[in-house]
Amino acid sequence: MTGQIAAALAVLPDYLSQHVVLSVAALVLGLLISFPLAIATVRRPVLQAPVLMIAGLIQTIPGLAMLALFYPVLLALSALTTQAFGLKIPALGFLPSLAALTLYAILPILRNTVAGLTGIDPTIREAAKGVGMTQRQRLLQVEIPLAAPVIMAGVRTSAVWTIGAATLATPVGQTSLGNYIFSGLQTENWVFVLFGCVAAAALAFIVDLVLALVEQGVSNRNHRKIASGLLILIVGTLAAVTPLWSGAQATYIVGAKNFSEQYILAELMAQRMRAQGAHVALQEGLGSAIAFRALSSGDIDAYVDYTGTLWTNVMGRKDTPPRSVMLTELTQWMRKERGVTVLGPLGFENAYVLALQKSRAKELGIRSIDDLARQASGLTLGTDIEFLDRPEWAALRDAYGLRFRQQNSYNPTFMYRALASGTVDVISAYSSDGRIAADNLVVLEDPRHAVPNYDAVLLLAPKRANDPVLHRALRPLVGAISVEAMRVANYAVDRDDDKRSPALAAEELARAIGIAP
Amino acid sequence: MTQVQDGTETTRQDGSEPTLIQLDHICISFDGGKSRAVDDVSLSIARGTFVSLVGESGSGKTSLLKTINGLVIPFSGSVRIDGQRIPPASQDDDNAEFRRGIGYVIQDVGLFPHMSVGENIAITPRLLRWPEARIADRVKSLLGMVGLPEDYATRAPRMLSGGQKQRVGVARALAAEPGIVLMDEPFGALDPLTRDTLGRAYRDLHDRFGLTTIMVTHDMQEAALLSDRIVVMQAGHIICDDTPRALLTQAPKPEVSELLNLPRRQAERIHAMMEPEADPR
Repeated sequence: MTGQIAAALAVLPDYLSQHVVLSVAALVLGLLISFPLAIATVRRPVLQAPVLMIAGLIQTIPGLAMLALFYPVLLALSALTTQAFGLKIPALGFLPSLAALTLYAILPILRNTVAGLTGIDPTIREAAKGVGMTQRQRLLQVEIPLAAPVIMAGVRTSAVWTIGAATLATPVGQTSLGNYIFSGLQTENWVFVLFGCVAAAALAFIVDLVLALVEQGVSNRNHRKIASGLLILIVGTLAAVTPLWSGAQATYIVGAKNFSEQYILAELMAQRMRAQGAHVALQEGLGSAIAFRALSSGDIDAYVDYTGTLWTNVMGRKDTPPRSVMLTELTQWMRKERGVTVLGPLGFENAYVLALQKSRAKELGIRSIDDLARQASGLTLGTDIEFLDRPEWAALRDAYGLRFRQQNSYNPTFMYRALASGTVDVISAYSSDGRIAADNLVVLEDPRHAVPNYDAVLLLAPKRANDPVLHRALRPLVGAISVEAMRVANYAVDRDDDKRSPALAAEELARAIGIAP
Repeated sequence: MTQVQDGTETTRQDGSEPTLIQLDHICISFDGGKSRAVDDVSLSIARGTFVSLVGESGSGKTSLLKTINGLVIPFSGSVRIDGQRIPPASQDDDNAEFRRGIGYVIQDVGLFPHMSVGENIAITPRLLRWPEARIADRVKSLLGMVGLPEDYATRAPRMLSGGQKQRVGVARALAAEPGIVLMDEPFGALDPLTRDTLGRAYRDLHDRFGLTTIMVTHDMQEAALLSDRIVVMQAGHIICDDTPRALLTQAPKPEVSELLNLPRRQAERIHAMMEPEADPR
């Protein structure tokens, strides 16, 4: 427990500073957009309803979806600008996060500014006209000062929302306090999840308090309060951001998808690259499809993927050739079509497999998926969130004619628990998962080879094809990790007692396979 | 003023004072001409006159008043001040600069709550970029003129009573030394005593500075006691235009006499109450 907190504290300066930079940038940009927009709509009341409606609609898009949507948009934009001006827009990380959070920051400021400006006593408006103020003078000397408390309340709401929503930037590759939450959720590290939540909430709370001071100063026309509030904000921002300036810029970025094994392998790669003297940063928790696109567009430099995933999802192939044929074809295709280097297989497979409890399998007399198909109509299938949408499931279902009584999706940990408690009868397990052995499960044979191989392979970005540091650091990993070693490492992170952080598990894995970093 | 005192009202009609404000065939419409709030009204007002516009709600008196400082743009007709037409309003300043030369007092005062009393009074001189020293002197002397202590300059408007607020409103209207002051029910929200005191105090200022004042009111008694000339409006038309004395002594149209009879009857009833044995009812 204390070890977990120490591990969390160690990365706090980095996470916090990136979180603050992102939030501040989004808030400032949101202000710059919504404030003039509000003034324009107040002057032209026809615009008011549609503008507020659009801003309201944006707010209803789930934060995670909004952030994810900006990745393909920027990717397409980047392709256009690269073609037109040779200018590449980074589609991962800061930019998509900033764009999405800015959109979120707009509504509260916009709505309150409009409400503040339209809510001014008509007598005062008339007096302002009567004394001979121009439209601009009325706005600057009377309307904005009088609406300021309401506007500030909007800025406060917006700041709290933005700080909260910034935790969702992690899956598009922007480091934030959300890194604690996402990696904690995936590795069942509740200390991390809680730490991330508390850190983000505390930050939002403090900023809200300081902005409340400014708001009070604005409504009482107490300039000292306004000045001290703003000073605290500026000093706080600078203090939070210092680690960014002092820290060396990462020259290599290692990617990881959003599950334990990926976190461990990314840490292992980063540790070995650092041993070569390289500056390395991690972009963790990437969505499965985002990870490969990020690599091929050079937003990340290296990561581990699985042959079967690339075969079906990237190459769009439906056949399942033998392991060696698949690897050769994949390597050639990647090099030729995408410029991506397949450095080699790590030595283990992480396939989607169907698994039952050993006792239950014996009881039902099921050994292969063929046996399962005959009894499926009376059984319940538990899967992870994405399995039922993946081509592997379609292939399995069609090859064996699988029809279950019921199908439930879970977060992986809860999927294993549902199997243990008997809520489901069969699950879509992962072959390198430590829980297969620990939970006493049996993996069903796939005699029709409906599911391709899922050999873990090291991938390098096109621009890193011949990078000596990457080759020196990562080559020794090729063929070095057995499925047993990977299961032990995965289980060390996934289990409930004596839980390891991915970084620690990576060190133990390196020692176990005899290639200490 | 002298006309009222010595009873030679006709001198005004003869044009012995030059015309300052000339309204010609003013039509005002708020629905693009379908219906008219003011229908073909002409009015000329001599320099130095205190004119009251009297009428029921909706008679068009306030709209007519606002054409003089350009807050309402007539649908047709022209407004001339000193022979000059009001310049056409532009999108940006909607005649703001022109309006700085005309004082404007409204019923709810409309003091800017985020400014001190002194800043409220100084607003138009500041817009006109007077030197600060001159503004400070002007604020001080205006507070004295409207009967407020000098140290009120630093107070916030919300700390003042209704009567004090309207005193500040009057000071603000007079700050840039306008020749014309427009007043829209200026004393309507005040208690009768304050209303009387403030009305008379303003009339003194009007005389002292040779102002031309147009006041909108629905109170015939107030109009009769303060003004040189009463213009009665009904449904967008002027139905009567005369001195208070002439209105009270001659028999006017029935619509006007009802308005006039009320204060007269009230005065008679109060007078009767003061007779030792009479029962006013």
